[in-house]
Amino acid sequence: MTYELNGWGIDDVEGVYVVAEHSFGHLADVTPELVGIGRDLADEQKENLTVLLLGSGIRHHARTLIEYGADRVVVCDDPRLRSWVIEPYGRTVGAFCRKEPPRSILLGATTASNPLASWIAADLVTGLASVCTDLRIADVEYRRVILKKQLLQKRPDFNAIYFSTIITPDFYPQMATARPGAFLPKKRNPSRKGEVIEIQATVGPKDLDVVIEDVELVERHTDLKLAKSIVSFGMGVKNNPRPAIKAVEDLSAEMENAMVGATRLAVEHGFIAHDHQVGLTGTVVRPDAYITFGIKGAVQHIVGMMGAKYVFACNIDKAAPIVNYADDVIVGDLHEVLPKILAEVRAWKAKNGAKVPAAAAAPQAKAAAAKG
Amino acid sequence: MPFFRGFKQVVLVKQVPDLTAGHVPIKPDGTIDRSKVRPMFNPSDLSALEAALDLKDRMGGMIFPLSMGPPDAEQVLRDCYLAGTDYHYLLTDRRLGGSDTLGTSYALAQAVRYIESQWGPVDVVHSGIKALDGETGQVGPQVARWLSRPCLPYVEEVLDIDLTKEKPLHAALIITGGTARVRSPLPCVVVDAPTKYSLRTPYASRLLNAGGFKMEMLNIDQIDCVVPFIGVDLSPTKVWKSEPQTSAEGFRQTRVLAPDQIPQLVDKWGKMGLFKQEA
Repeated sequence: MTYELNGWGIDDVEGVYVVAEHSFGHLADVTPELVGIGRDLADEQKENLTVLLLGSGIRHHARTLIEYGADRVVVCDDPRLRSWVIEPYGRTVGAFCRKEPPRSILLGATTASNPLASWIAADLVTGLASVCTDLRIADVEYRRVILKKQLLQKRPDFNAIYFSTIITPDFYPQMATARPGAFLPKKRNPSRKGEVIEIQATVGPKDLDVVIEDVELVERHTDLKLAKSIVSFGMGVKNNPRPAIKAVEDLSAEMENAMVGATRLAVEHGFIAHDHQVGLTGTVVRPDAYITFGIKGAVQHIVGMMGAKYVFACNIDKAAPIVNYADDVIVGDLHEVLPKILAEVRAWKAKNGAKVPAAAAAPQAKAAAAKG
Repeated sequence: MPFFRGFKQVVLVKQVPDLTAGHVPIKPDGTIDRSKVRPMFNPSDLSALEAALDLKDRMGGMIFPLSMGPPDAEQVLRDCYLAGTDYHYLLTDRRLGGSDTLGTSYALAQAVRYIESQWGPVDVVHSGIKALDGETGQVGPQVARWLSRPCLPYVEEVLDIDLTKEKPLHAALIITGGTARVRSPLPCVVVDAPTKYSLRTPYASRLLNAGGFKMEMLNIDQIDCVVPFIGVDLSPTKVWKSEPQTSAEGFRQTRVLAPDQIPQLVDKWGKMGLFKQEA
């Protein structure tokens, strides 16, 4: 047998755990978001929120995590955890959970944390709901049985055409990964009190076999998170990419604090650099306006932009998933529609000059001040 | 069956319903109505298959594609054969139906052990980054955990493989904010990222010799996989509710405009303050 059921029931588990993520010395954006939703889930059950912080030279983040809402930070600061390698990290988290079994564990749905979450779920022999966009705790009825204190894990399914709510009724802990950007961090409170405890790393004999020799930071010249508007394109440009991408860039240049975005496929086809990629494997964005041309809307892309305040889509296919996530849609060939829009924007600006309605100008000034 | 001394790889491949067309028929219980969708080769597994073929080009040896699914999932194994794989395994058993990733990954790990009982130790197990119909991305790391083998997540490229070294595999991984170069011992489990590898053209010789396709069907008794977390009833995660996106975050009341309404659209954008103010 290569597995051992943990046998935990509802009375054996307590509290919410968050596994912190960091890279190149910085806490990942998703970690304060997880602490935020973890705080809510813990409060609903009147239980504690524990953050597990593993790595080397990362102790100083513990204070930050408490200010964001953790009751307790479990620190494992060990040179053997210098690189983010699944086995020693997973083994240490697993060992701590066996000592103090939690009700639920949350991680980020990110390149670093998703494989780790999967490994830990197998290690503890429990379920895992991936890329959740909403997490709540409630008593629910399932197959005519009332289940107490279930973690309701909502996630996009089948190309984001459906949303499923997953429960993990008979296995503990209930594990979920959260989509970056889906939850908001709490405001930092510098006077918040919390406990910090230190633990030893648990490392099996072969857990350090994978050696990271060197890491290379890919310079990001474009940080899409700072854009007020994003003009994005997908594989719809493929019939005549050069003029279409030029028009996307021109439209972006006409707009206030706008940047160009793209889908994963467009990046893979070499149309634009990776730092322009919107989506789960690129950047998760929440701009004021998200303007798309020729994007069909794969689920990884949808979850990366669905937080935008306003969405426009130009697509040749009326049934494309992106259509359901857009406020305004033009069904048509972007090679025809985009030049018309660009010309119209220039005409509008020529006619209206610098006149911008006061209501729209105010938040803009605020955004500029916040950035400055 | 012969014990094989050369380099051995397993590729995990999956047949998924084709969801790329846009319309997905959903039954009232929230599952896909598979009778109304065409099956297809899970796109990210194509990268895993090509990564294995690329290693076979360098190392020789054999590739064993392994799939779990209904009997007609044989088709994805046939597709593998056309691209150059050697001996194929289809794990098909009603008792596995509806398994979530925990049970699925356990069954696949046990099937890898079965393959090893026939052919000897497998050097590399390849997995795609995720399945089109599940989007969980959990299978590779979980198979690694069950097999107690190191997992290399999101391998962009195998830079070098040298069996004379203690850690033969040298690979580039995608990590948050950059790339990392790692050395790993064998055997290991690799999750192939879909960046460098797109599948080669099928071999004409194999198209003409479809009779050369060799496949073995497995059930869960053969692979010692009768465990209390497989199948729809025993899987840890359950779909409690499935709802159309109308109630979901991000869903909008869409307004479809005719192309001649572009002036109104642009006027709206202008009034939203989206345009740059000239100095």
